[in-house]
Amino acid sequence: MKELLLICLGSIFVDNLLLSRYLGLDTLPDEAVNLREVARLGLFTTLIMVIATPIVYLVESLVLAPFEIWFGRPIVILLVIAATVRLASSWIRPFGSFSVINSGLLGLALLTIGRGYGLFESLVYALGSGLGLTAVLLVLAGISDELRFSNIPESFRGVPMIFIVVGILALCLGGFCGMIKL
Amino acid sequence: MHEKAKSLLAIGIVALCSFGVLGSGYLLIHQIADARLEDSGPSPFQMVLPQAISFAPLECGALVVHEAKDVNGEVVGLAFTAVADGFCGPIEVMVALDPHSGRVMKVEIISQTETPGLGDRITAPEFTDQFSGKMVDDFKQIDAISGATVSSQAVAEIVDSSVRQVLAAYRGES
Amino acid sequence: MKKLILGLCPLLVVATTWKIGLLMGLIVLVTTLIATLIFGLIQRYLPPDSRRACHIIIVGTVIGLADLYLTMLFAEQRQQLGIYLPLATVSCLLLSVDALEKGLGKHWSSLIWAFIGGGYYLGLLGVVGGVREIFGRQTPLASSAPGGFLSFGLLLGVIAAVSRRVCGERTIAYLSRLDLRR
Repeated sequence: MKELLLICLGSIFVDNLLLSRYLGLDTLPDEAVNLREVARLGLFTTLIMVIATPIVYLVESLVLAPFEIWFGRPIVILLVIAATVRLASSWIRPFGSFSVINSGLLGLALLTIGRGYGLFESLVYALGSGLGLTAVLLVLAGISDELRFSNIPESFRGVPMIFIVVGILALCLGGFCGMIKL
Repeated sequence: MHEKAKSLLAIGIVALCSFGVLGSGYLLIHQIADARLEDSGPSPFQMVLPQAISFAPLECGALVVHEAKDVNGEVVGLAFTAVADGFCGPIEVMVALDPHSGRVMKVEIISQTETPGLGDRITAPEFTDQFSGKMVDDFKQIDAISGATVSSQAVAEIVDSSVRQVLAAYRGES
Repeated sequence: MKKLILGLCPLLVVATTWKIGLLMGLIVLVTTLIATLIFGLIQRYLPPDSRRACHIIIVGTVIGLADLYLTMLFAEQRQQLGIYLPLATVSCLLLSVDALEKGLGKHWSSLIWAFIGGGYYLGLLGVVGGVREIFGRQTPLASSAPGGFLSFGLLLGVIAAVSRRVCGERTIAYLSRLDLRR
């Protein structure tokens, strides 16, 4: 039980999907959106992660691993995610800007397999990662909002600034490293 | 319903084709890789013991150790791999050991999933070179990578414990 | 456009030396070209609902082949890329989808756009790799993890600034409006 909690907390602070692993930044849509949209997107992504990751684990252990088809992973994972998104969209109001082509989802599934997490561990890891990602995206959106009125050189507006802000956030998070031993 | 069936059929066919391509790719590349190995015959352990030409596996307790011999048939070292519990997952380590002096000759990190930019710097020579020439009790003085204490210590500990194990078993046998 | 650059984000992790950056960029470029070629040819024969899934399968297959090729023949480089090689599926998928849209259904157009996109990624990854390698010798931390974000952001900003000087404001505005003409 304690390990599960540690994995969950660890994935939010220490091993953050976006800040440590650079994954999940393409959850952000093209046009600028307000905080509420970002929050909903993030939580939707978390939901997909939580549902899809255990399924991926099952597929991996039952199908991919016994036959050692490691190279088929991205295909299988993406298809599982696509199916999950389809399913989830029928329950919850579908998002226009959400796409299956999301590095966060694929990356999370790959990380879970790479770490050798079991069923419950992958669930918890997915939950923590999704929440951590949502948190960072919210912070990012909030800061981008503020920055719109600042004196940034024209060339640096938009995408360059996003990366610089994320970089600074990642630096801040670096202080958490070592806090939790997984 | 008919539309959906068509879609699924299309996906299925494409998936089958992809499977075929990947499968044949796997077999083909496997053959090429095997052929390559047969020609040059490198063993993965050459990473840590480049001067050896043959590696004979021995069982030393729970570990499988490879006895490395050079051109003259002399044992130049023992090579083995061990897995440590790193910060973010398993760290696979390869160690070359001099059985006569009990000193480590070389350590290489084979695989790890540590934090990029921090923990994964255990793969850098600045870290792994510290192990060369050291004996079992010296590993406590290894300089850890700042910000990656857990990763560094995991490597130090596994090298320490595995070297102890191997030396005990090897000297016990011979 | 923003989505495209954000899609590059996960690949930045591995770009700690210019060699690996170029390798990753090369894989992405070749994969995108091949996948766009194949999918472009068969897409009209596929029922519309299945197109996205088939696109995923095709890109995944090419990446799977690349994975096999590297794992068996260039194991050291493959090890350095880690989970980010299968993850490149997403980035290639993004590029491929975008290229096909921009190509407006014409085959050669799509391929050229795929080449442009992939080449852009290749260049950026190589340069980021080089920058991080150079600065990495001075400050070990600044060239990895958070530093990667920062260097990329700064790099993009510098490129934008230089392009503005060289091409002039009107060309930039024209080019950016070009993207939205879909």
